[in-house]
Amino acid sequence: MRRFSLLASLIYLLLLVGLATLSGRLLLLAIPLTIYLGAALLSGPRELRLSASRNVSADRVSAGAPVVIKLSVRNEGSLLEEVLVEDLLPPRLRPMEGESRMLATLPAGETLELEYTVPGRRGCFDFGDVRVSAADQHGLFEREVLLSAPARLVVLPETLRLRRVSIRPLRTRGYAGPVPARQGGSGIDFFGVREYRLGDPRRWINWRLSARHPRSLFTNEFEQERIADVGLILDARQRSEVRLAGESLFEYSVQATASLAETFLGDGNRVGLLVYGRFLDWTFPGYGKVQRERILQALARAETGDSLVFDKLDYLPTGFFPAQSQLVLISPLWRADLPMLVSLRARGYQVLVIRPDPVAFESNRLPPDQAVALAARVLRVERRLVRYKLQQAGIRVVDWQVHEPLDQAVHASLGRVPTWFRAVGVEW
Amino acid sequence: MIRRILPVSIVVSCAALAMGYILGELWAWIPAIVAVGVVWLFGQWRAWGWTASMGLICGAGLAAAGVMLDLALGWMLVGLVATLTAWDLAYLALRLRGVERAEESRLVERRHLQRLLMVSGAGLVLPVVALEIEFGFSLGVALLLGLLVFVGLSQAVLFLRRETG
Repeated sequence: MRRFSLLASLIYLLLLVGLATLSGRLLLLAIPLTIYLGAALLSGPRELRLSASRNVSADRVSAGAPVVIKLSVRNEGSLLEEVLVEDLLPPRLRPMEGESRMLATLPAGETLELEYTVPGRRGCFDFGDVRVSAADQHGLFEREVLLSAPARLVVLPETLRLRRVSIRPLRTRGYAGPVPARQGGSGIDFFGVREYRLGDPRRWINWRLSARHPRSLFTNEFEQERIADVGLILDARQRSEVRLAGESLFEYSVQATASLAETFLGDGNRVGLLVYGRFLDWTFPGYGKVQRERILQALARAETGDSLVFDKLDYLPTGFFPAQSQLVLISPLWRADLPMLVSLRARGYQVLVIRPDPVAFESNRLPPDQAVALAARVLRVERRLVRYKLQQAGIRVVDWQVHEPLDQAVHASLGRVPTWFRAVGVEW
Repeated sequence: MIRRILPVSIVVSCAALAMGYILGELWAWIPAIVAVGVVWLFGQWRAWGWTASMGLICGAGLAAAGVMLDLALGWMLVGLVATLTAWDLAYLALRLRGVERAEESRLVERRHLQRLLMVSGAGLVLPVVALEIEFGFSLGVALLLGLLVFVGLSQAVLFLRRETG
C-alpha cells in the first residue's frame, strides 16, 4: 500500500504540475508511471481463499535429530500471480536445510508445498500461523492472510548412560530394589548378627560367634535392598545460566537431570522432578517408562527465568517430596542457597548436589588473561568453601566440569562409599 | 538474475539523467545525481528498504526538473523508466530475500522480469508516440482538467484503499 501511495503521489504531482505549468512534456513523464500502475491494477489479487496444513516428520525427537517440516498451502480461489508463503517459526528455531519462505505462482485449485529441516534443539516448539501475502506483479496491491496450521514438536534432552548412582535415603519403599534399606533381612551386604530363629538357612549361621556361646546360635543378617523415592530438583533460575560462545551451562544441567532420571528410574525407583525457576514445574513422582517420558517432556520445556519469589531456594516446596527421601539438586549453587540445603538435611532428607562448574565453563571459553585467571581462582576458592560447608552439613557434592563425562564425575565423587557411610544409624 | 539487473538499472537511470544534464551543460546537478545513485546502490547492498523509495522520488524529481529546465526529454524519459524498473526490482529482491531458490521462485522471477520488460517498453514507447500528437488548450480548460484529475485520482485512491483493505 505504501508503494501504491508513493507511485500515486508521484503521478498526481506530475499531472498537477504539468497542468499548472501548461507543460505537456511533464504530463508525458506521468505516462510510464501510469502504465505501471495500470498493469499492477489489472494483475492484482481479488480475494484470498487459501487453506494450509502442516506435516512434521516426528512430533517427539531426541536432541540433535533433524526434523522435516512439510507445509502445504492450497488455493481455493482464483489464480495468484505472486504469492509469498512464510512459515512463522517459533523463536529459537531456524531452518538448517531449505527455507521457510517461498515465492511462487499459485493457480486456482493447486497446492504449494514447502519443505525444510530444522535442527533438533531441546525445547517444546509450537508451530502456529503461516503468513501468505499475494500481490500483483509489481507489488502495489498486496493482500495478506494468516492461515492456521498448528503442530507441536517436542525435542527431548539428550540422556547419557550412567552407572548406578549410590544413594542412601533414610526411608525406602516396600519393593525390592538397589537402595540399601537400613533394615536387616535378605540381601548381599553384611548388616548384623541376631539370635537364630527357626527357619533361618543354615549357611547364614555365624559359626564363629555361635562357638563362643555354646548354648545359642547366631545368624548373620544382611541389609535389605529396596527402591526409594528420589526427588530431582533442577535449578532453572536465571543466575544458574552461563551462555558463552553459543554454549549454555543450563543445557548441561538439563542433560545431567535427564541422565539421572533415566538411571534412577532404570533402577526401579520412584522419581519426581521439580524445575525451580521462573515458576515451579512439578512432575509428580512415578515409576517406569511413562514417568521417564513425563520427566523428559518437562525437561524439554524447561527454561531459565527470573522470579522475585523464587530468587532464592528458600521457597523450595518440600511438601512435594516424601519425607526422608533422597533429593538430588542439579545447580551451580550459590552461597545464599546453603541455609535451605542445611534445613533440608535437618528435616531428614538425604541431599546430593550435582554442581556444574560455571567457573571452569566460562574461564575455558575466555581468552587467557591474568585478570580472568585471578577471578577464576577467587571463585574456585569460594566454591570450595561452599562445598566444605555442604559436606559439614552431611550433604554429598559432585563437582562437575562439564567438558568431562558426568558419569566420570559422579563416580569419582560417589564411587567408593566409605564404610562409616554405610553403617547403620549414621545419617550421612 | 535480479541481483545483476538491479545495479545495472540503477546505473542506467543515473547515467541517463546525468547525460541529459551534461548535454544541457548543467554540471552542478551531476554530483546530486551521482550521490543518489551511490546511496541507492549502497542501500541495496546493505538491504536498506528505504533507499529504493528515495531513489524513485529523486529519480522522478530529477527527471521532472530536467523537463522543466528544457533538457532533452528522451534522456529524462529513459532515466525515469530505468528508475521505475530499479524500484520494481528492489521490491522483488526484498521479497526474494530468505526465499528458497527453488524452481518455483525462479519461474516467478523470470515471469516478473518479462512483464516488467513489457511495461517498461510501453512506458518508453507511449510517451514518444504521445509526443507526436499536439493540441493546445486555454487556461480555463487546463483548470477544468486539473480539477478532473484531482477528483478522479482522489476517487481512484480511495477506491483502491478500500479494495486492498
